[in-house]
Amino acid sequence: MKYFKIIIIIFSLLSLGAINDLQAQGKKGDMDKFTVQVDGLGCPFCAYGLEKKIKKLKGIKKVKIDMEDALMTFNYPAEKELTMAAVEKQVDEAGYTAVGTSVIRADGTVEKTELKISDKIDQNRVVKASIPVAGTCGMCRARIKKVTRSIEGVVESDWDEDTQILTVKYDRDLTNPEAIEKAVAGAGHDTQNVKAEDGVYEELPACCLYERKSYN
Amino acid sequence: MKIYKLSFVIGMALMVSCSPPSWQPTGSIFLNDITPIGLGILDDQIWLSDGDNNRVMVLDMSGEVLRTYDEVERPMHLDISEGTAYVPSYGSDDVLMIKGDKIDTLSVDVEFEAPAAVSVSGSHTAIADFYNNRIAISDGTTWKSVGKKGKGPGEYSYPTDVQVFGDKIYVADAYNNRIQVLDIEGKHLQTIGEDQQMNAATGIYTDGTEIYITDFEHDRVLIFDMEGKVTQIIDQGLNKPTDVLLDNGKMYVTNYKGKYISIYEKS
Repeated sequence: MKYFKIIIIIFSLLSLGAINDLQAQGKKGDMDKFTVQVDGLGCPFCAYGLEKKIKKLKGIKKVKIDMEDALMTFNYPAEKELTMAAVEKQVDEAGYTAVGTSVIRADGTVEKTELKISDKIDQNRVVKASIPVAGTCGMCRARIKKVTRSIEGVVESDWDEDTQILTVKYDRDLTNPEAIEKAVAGAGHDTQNVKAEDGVYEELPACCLYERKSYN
Repeated sequence: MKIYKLSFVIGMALMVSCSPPSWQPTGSIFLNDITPIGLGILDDQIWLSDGDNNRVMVLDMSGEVLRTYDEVERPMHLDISEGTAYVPSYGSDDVLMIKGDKIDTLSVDVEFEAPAAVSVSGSHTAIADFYNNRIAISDGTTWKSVGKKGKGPGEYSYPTDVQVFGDKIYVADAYNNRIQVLDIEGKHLQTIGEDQQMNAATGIYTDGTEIYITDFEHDRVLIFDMEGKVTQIIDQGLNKPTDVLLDNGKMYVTNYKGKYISIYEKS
């Protein structure tokens, strides 16, 4: 009888610990609700492709792509503690561009990603450059904007599909056109002076495969 | 001078009356919340794959919804043959066969990822294998896949539509922005439209006398003769066209973004 009581107490303590763990991490069955803004989702073939790739995340539920508002929503088991950075990485690795993510955790807390501009920027040193960059569509524009805005020192950037020109404002002490071109090429887009690696270019989504020009 | 003017007017009138007929817009069918990608017509009923809403819709010729087949994961360029609708499911990697209330899955002996189109003609079937950059072909007995990613003849950049017609296969080689014509075994015969600056050649149709292709990003339909020469370009009134076909002397074009079907007749 004594042993039986001890077993009961140990079992209860273990159960309490497990419950506390579950409360901390989210109970089994509880879902976090993610919303990802994916810029430039104009082509259904690419949008459905993104959905197909995201569905490969084990445990993901209720994946929905809203083409009108360029939003992807899905639920994910709270116990797996999926981070917004991991979601954005998954989207970016699939060749698309997550420009903002929010999540309502199972316990009700809300998290959002925010674009941070470096506090080292001095407006007196901000200059403007126009750089030829190759691309084809709205998804290209989103990718080029995101990669340039993530460079420390860049204040503003945009890319025009018709003119194929990237216009960028940056702090000249923090970055320069060479570094910007290198970053853009790193995302798969040939610039005036830097060619993207073939492997990176080939991984771009179908509608972003622009006609490549020869380089010396 | 008077005689000269008269001759000029008569000459112009003769030129106009002798010019070959071209496709002119004659109407539209508005689709409310349907985002059309694939199009088929059977017995005065329009079949549409509604990609965004994961369903296949059947409408009468005025646009009234007659039937809905739900829970088809991202249906794409469908085809109708001998009373059966063949619907590629891009999301679930299979091809459905719908006849009345009965839905079966087409047995395919090769692997494919994200089927974007299917075409059935007699015993022959072709499937546009989007992510593998191949065309799956069956002669009714055996299956094989042809092609690979690339820009050369017989290579593809995400094929989105296909049509078997006679002893040939016509492929919308979407992101190479061109048409490829293959023999029934899948051997490359002809490349068309490379010089037309298309941006995503998404939907293809041929009636054996001309080849029609939708240019998705540029809101155009290009029409070629069988040698590959452009006979007409339609660039008005389209909004992200995805598919095109002819039925009963009319041309129908689905507009994905605009959510309507454009109708044209020759005059």
